[in-house]
Amino acid sequence: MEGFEYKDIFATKAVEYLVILAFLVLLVLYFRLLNKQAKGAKSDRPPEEMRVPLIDFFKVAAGYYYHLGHAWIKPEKNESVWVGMDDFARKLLGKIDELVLPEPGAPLMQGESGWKIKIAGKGLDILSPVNGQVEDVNQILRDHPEKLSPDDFTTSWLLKVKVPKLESAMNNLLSGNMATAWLNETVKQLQRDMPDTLRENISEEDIKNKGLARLMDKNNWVSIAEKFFKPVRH
Amino acid sequence: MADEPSKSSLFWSEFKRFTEFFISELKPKGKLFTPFNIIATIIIVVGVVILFFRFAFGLGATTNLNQEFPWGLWIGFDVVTGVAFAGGAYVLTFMVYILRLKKYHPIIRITVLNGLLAYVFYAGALLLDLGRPWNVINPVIGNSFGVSSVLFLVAWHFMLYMMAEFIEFSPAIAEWLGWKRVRKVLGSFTLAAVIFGIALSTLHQSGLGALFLMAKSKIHPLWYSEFIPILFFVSSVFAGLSMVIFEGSISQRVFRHQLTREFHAAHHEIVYGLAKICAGAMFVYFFLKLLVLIHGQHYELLNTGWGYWYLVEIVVFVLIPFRLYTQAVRYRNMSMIRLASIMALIGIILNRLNISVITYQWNAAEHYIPSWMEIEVTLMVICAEIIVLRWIVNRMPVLKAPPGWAREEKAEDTRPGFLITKMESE
Repeated sequence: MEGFEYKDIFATKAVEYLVILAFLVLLVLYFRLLNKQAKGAKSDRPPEEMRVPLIDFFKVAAGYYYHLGHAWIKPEKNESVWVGMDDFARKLLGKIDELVLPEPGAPLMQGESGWKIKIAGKGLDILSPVNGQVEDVNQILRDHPEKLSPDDFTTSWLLKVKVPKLESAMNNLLSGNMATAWLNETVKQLQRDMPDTLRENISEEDIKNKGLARLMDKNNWVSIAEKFFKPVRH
Repeated sequence: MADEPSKSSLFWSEFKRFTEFFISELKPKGKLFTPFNIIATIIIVVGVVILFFRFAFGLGATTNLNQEFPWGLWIGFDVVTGVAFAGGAYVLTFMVYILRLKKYHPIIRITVLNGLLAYVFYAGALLLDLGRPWNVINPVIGNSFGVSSVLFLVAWHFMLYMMAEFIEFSPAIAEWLGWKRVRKVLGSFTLAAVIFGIALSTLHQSGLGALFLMAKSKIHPLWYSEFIPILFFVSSVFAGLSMVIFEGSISQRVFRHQLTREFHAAHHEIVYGLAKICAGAMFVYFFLKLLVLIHGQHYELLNTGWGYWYLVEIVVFVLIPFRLYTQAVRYRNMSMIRLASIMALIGIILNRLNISVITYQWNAAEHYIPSWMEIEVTLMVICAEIIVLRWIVNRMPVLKAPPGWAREEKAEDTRPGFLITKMESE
């Protein structure tokens, strides 16, 4: 195909050996450099001191049963339960503009949309924690959603629901240590998604007004919130 | 005998269920009239028309190929570059299944799927370029094996590797169809397929380079070297992983609703790990290029037009992304990693095109410039691959969690979401 070509293969050998030796030395140095994290490098993990407080920051109340969509129930007598949104949901969402609650008599299905909230013109479905029929609706909160207080469990119920098969509905709910463990996992997930700048300058007032989701990302907070309110089904 | 009617009715009811499920899955999910869909449809329709002409009237009617330039964009970009980009699959399966680096497990399926589709579509584009495409089967059926040709090796490797990748991906298909027993059997083949696939990959990544050893007098001396196969192999490591990083940053946005907690939790760490490997591979690659340059004794050619072009490839698209990867890993900067991956990918496109198209017949009076139809068909191949990828990802457990019954035992129990799953089922 091509003609004979004379090439002195020894002409460059010395240089090639030197290059290979330099390569080996530089490889060791480069490997060390690559594995050493630079000063001021961002860390993906939340700083140690942030981890524990934020976990305790969300309350899990005794006697309450939690659904993975961040709603709780508190059983009453006669197969009735109080239903509300958990502390995590309220701190994630902040101040709610409008609460669209179902009317008394409306049926609810566990894991399906139970009620709707509206914030800054955007709507978000919250999953119902139980199957049943709505008996009563918290009129005060419906008219004044801003009164939904993150600190008070007793006045923050949204619906009273009659649940015919409470036992089986409770199989899918978590309470006590289980609820705490689950919430801790959720919080770790939240911390991973949180930008570093926010992690360092988080204030309770901001959380109360704007909610963590909007603080994390002003434009895409709905998708952040949806990720937590619609648990991955397996 | 008494069982027979019930067995057959069981079969038919299962068959009916499967058919109904399959037909319902064929329907598009999501909006039909998105900007991407509209543009992709136009490109594909035009591409099909061009391909009709190509097969009816031959390569001359649609391409600028001739006796002097038998290989053009379809080989140089689709096949040679596409295969380098698919290299992520063998690197990652090696890391996960052989080295047992479990950290990278969440992205294994999407990477294998990408690799498989890249081979089916890009290497499949080889058929468009063959004068008599039906003869492609000859090296396989033995109607003249052609054992002394590098193409014999490439043909067999492509075919076997596609099968190996299909087997690696097949558990996801079985999970989608709900075939529990089939899933179990296919899952047991994975490791064998992976080992086989890695052997094939390392051989044919370099084999593609070996094809160009026959064109010594035609390729510019700065690009031609006896070591092209080794350079192709080493560069396929960072080409493939850069593609994984680049595609990951896109699919994280497009398919964000499907991503598992496992994926979310591990994503940053995975990308930093991949970027580190890219940086290391580019370090090795740069030194190999340097050695090849010294060995070739063509320094004087560096001070010519082609020499400057060579330096652009090496300095701008090897050294700069290498530096960016290094910095990004040390400072843990995701956007810098994305930029580095894009530059590395452009570098690979340039390198492969330089060898197969741009500097090919560099001293000839006329040069090959692809026709608009060749570019259109290349775009068609890319669009078709993206559409098929999207169809599969939206249906099968590629990014989303596999169904509960298919979850692999111990190894996956440590993932963050498992606690919840476990409690849910209790």
